[in-house]
Amino acid sequence: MKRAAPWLWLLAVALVVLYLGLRLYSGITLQSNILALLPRAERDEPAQRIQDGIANSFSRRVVFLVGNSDPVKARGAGLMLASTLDHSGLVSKLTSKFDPDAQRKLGAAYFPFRAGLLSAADRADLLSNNGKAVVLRAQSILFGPGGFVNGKLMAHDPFFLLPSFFTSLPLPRSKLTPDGGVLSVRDGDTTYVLVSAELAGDPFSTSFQEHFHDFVDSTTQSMVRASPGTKLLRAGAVFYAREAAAEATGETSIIGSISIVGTLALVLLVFRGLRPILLGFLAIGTGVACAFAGTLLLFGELHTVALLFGVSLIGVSVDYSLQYFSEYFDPETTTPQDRLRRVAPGIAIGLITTLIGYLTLLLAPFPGLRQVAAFSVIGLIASVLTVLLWYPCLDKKDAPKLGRFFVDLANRHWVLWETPTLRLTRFAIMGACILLGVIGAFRLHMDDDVRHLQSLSPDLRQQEAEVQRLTGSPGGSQFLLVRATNEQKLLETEERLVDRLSVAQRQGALGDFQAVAQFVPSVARQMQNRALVLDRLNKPFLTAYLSEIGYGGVVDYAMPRRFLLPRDVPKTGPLSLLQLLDVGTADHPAHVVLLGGIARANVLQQISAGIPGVRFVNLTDDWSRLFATYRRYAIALLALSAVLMYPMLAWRYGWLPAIRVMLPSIAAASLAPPLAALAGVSFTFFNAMALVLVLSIGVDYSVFCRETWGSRKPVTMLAIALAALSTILSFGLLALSRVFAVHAFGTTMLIGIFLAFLFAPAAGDATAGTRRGVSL
Amino acid sequence: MLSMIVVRALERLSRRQIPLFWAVCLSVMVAVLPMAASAAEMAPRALMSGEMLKGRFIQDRQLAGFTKPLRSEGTFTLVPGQGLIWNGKTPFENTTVITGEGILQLVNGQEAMRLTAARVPGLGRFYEVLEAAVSGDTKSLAGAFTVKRIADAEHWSLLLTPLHGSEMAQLKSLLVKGGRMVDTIDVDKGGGDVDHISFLDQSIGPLALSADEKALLAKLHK
Repeated sequence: MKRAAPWLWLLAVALVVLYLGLRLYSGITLQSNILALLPRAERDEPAQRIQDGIANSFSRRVVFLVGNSDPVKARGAGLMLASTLDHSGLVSKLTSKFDPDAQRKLGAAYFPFRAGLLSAADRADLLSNNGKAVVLRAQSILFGPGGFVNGKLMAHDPFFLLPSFFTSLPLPRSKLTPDGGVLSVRDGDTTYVLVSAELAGDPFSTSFQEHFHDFVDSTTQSMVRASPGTKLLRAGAVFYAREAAAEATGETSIIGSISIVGTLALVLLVFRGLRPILLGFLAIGTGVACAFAGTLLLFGELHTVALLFGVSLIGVSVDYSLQYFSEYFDPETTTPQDRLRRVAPGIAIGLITTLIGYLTLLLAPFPGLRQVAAFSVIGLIASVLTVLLWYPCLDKKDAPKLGRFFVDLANRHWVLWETPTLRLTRFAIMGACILLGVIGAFRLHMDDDVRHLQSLSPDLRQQEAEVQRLTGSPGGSQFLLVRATNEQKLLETEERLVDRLSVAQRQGALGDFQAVAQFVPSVARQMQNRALVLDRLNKPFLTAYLSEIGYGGVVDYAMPRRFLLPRDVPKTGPLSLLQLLDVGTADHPAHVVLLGGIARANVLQQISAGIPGVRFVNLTDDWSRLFATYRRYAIALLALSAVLMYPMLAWRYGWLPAIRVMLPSIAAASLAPPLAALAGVSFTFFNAMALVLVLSIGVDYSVFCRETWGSRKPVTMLAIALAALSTILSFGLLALSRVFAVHAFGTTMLIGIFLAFLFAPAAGDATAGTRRGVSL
Repeated sequence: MLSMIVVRALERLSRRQIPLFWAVCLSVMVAVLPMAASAAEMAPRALMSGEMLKGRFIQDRQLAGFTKPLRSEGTFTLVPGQGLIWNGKTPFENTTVITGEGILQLVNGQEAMRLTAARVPGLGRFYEVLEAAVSGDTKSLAGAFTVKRIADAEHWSLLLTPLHGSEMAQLKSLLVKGGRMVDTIDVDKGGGDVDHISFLDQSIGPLALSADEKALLAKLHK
């Protein structure tokens, strides 16, 4: 069995490499949506699905404004972009064209049900029994200048209630005007033409992003060639996503390369031979390959953040190789088996405590972080298996002749912690750390704002702002979500809501709003309206009105049996907005009420709280709150992993010494955030997750210090110093990342690992001059 | 990202034509009335800023199904760059104010209808088109209308026929006639529906608005 193990491991690694090759060949999906790191809602499943749907439909929208100083050229370029988009297969719906027939279709859909459709003003007058006002309005339209009245309308809607309803519809404001078959807006000397579309693919899939990006680039070039001076403004999640993915991939290769090169240089400098490098590479390589394959197998895709963290795993998995190779410096170990036997207990305990740290990440309901955890756990186990099973076979018997320089250098760290006369220095260092920590604690502030957690390209941001300014459409992620058991109940709830929103609007709490019920009243409301029209308008006023104005025709004011339903409204054309507002599923009907110009969000919160089934949704705030919840969750995970590690350490070292082993890393984890705060780094969820790793890696160092004895101590310290350096090389470099989450993670790791290394010898057993048992 | 949803909605909603139609008819008058043609050239001259035009109007609106045209009479005041006040005296008191910002209608001093320019997409564009018409810039009009201009020594007329498929296709034709000033406008909406507006007792004078008139124009600002 013992002999077969290395071969079995070889077979397993070969299979992994084969699988990975196949997956890479067929193309893997890299996920870059930071919200994919977020948990699936645990409490309100339908609401979550609805919100996901909304976020999804938002993220699929792309808007272009094609600008040129010559309106004809702008129109030409816009039409060209539209038709190329249409033929590209990259978009499913194109909404740049202007359909002259849409208005007629809309009129035809509403016309039969006109008796039940009243504008808010007409309805209010009839409700207060003031039909006379409606009659006067009709007369002023008849006799006033211009206007829309014609003979046909007069015969079918003598009081012009339907036009009145149409003009009262709360349509969002637009600066865009129809112009020769397109929508355009003029800004200074430039005419912009709108082209908007819905993407046919997933905006967060890297392959789709690449296709789309290439397409937009080449189309822009040919547009500029065809009409020089054309400029293109763009807005859409896909542009941000592609930018983020490109940045993350670029950073992965840069940070990853520097990390590998730095680590290798370190190993080469200390061990002065190729063997440690090759064997180290082998351990890292098998680790990363297994981790990559395992994560893909488990999750089907890989998040770019998981990839970034995963690549940095190199810094951790190399620790075990370093432990092994540092034995070269110990003249007492002469065979590979000897070396392994000496470091195996430390590696095993270190691995288990580290795994406990990573496994707690698995408890977090964040899909992305589970990926990080899975990646790390699989990778570390594979690396350790390579060290344990292959190193004895592959390593040569005789160690290279190495000087004592590095060992002596490393030994100084022991000297600092174990020389009785340096007691004051130690206290001074600890005192300084605590003092700085206390000062930092006052500067420490929590930051859960999701807008800070996503780094958005300033150029794209500016283009989006331009698009918003030119189209006159407000940006915003606040709306009301209305839910009920069926569509009619939904509309009735919205009607109650609309009444209160109108009051709030008059009080200036919000600018405008759009609800489905304003465009399609509930059947109950339509029945009531019909009764109002019959009893309070037609019966008392119609005959007198007609004779007064001299109308001799026949009035046909039919009231069909059926009522207007949302499905009667044409899916294309002016009111396609309604489709977007309908966000429910067959089992869970739901509508969105759009809100514009919110001045007092608390008023909206009060209104929504007062009507059952209505919820005020503030996507930004919701996400921020979620990050806050999970920041606290991560702190709990930190405590939990400490608690889980303790029995294991207590079993090995005893109850009291186990506390001593844990103290250095606990100190590192608690001091890192306030010290980072001194450097202006706020505390986010990602910093908290980094602390989980600081704790488990820090415990590794303490365990290595505790496991060593006598003359081996300097050798062990050299290995720990190399480990800390390589970890800082990889994780510390993440502090340079422009991806905010990764930057936060990296900064905390940098400080935390340094502190863990600084305090690690305190866990050592100063009296341990003799050999401890090696069996495990 | 919510802006996407709104943009999408906007681009469709801006195609509404009912208020647009209001805009056509009203802006025809706003744009055409300032024409004060010089007798020698018979080419219209726009009102200068600092001037205003006052006069009487008679509007006969012929609609299918009515035994006789709907006649309204009253006065109007036009201030270039500010707007038009249309004051109906008979058959009942009503006031319509039209400015670049929208349209407001008052019956017995009560607000009966308000359309803001933001809610009437295209209003601005129609001003442009009709200004072009007035200055004889037939090139810009060619996109939307066929323009026919007839002028003799004392009178001129301008016949505007919307092109098929243009945004003004709901109108059949616009006929503007005048001499030194615009005398009549005929708006043919098809199906026998015709508005015939005559302008009488017109006078151009220095800008001097009453407090009431100022208040009316300001009402649309809020």
